[in-house]
Amino acid sequence: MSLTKNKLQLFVTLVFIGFVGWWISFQHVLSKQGLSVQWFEGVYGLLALTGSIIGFITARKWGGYKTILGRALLFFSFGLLAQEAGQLILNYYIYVSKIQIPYPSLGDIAYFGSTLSYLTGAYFLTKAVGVRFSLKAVKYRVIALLVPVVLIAASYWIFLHNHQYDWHKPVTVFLDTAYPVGDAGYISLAIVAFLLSRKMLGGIMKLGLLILIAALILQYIADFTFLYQSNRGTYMAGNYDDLFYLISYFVTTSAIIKFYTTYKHLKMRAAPVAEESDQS
Amino acid sequence: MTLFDQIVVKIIQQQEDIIGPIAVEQAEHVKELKIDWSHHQVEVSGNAPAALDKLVEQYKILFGQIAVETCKEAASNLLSQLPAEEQPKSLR
Repeated sequence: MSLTKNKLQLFVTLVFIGFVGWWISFQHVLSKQGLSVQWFEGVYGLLALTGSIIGFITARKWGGYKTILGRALLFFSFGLLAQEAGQLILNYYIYVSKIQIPYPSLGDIAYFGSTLSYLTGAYFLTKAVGVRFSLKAVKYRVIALLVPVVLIAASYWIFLHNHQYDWHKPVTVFLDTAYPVGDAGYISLAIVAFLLSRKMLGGIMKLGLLILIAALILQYIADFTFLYQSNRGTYMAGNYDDLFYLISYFVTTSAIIKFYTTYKHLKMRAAPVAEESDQS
Repeated sequence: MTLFDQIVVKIIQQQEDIIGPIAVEQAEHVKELKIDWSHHQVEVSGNAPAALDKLVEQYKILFGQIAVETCKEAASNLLSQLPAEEQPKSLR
């Protein structure tokens, strides 16, 4: 289905392009952190909210929590919703309360909820793409084991090596560890899902599933950049990390729309195999 | 239900676990299958192995070879009870 025929995808794409244009427009005055940046920070998460609403509708069409694909779509939708909630809470602290963002804060419930949602969504994604069939081969079992081990070790090295834990604040200690490990967890599952399904996955569902895997990778890039900059005190609102998040929301929403249109297509489709057989 | 009927039920159930009611609708495209899914009843008419091949093809349209593997897995216990010459090509 072309972009112009798919009105939902067209709408989301135009909104995305609009936000990118807005983001570009204030880059030369970013250091002033003016009103444009503040409004952008408060508003661009609407793309994630839009994606989550479409996601909940789409997940229901694919069987909701009763099915593997429905569950995957539900958790991706929860992830998007939690991202928007986290952004709104943090923006409230910064621009309304005008206080230093506490850590941990209510925003962390949303952001860590998002990490857990993507982790669970990625797990159901591996089930949907039939990773278990490839796991019969030793080579793929090694890949499935090595990828998470390497990524979690790398995350530990980058974020937690020589990290000073404040053991009087157990929630802080938990979050310090759980964010990078959780992020490494869902990106590992996404990579394993891709590597172990690429030879067997096909059909009209392939593109949607591959876009979902790509969305997880983009979300990881955004989360990784945010954690990295936060750890080193270099994070600035409206900088390229927000662009990464915006792209991630767009790609995740596009994947969800792909499943929505595939569902519509299947509902309208005639019986090809039976008819083709009759004709032959 | 015949062994073929039971295999079809198993395959549709397995696909339904993945994609929901669309799995039943895909199966309904195979005209040799008479499906009463509210009672999980299926009746295969005509050439049963060929009908099963068509059913597998319906799911292959969705997920490619992974769907075929899923169908094989769903049918594996029952397939072994069929003589080799009666086994559908797609599930061998």
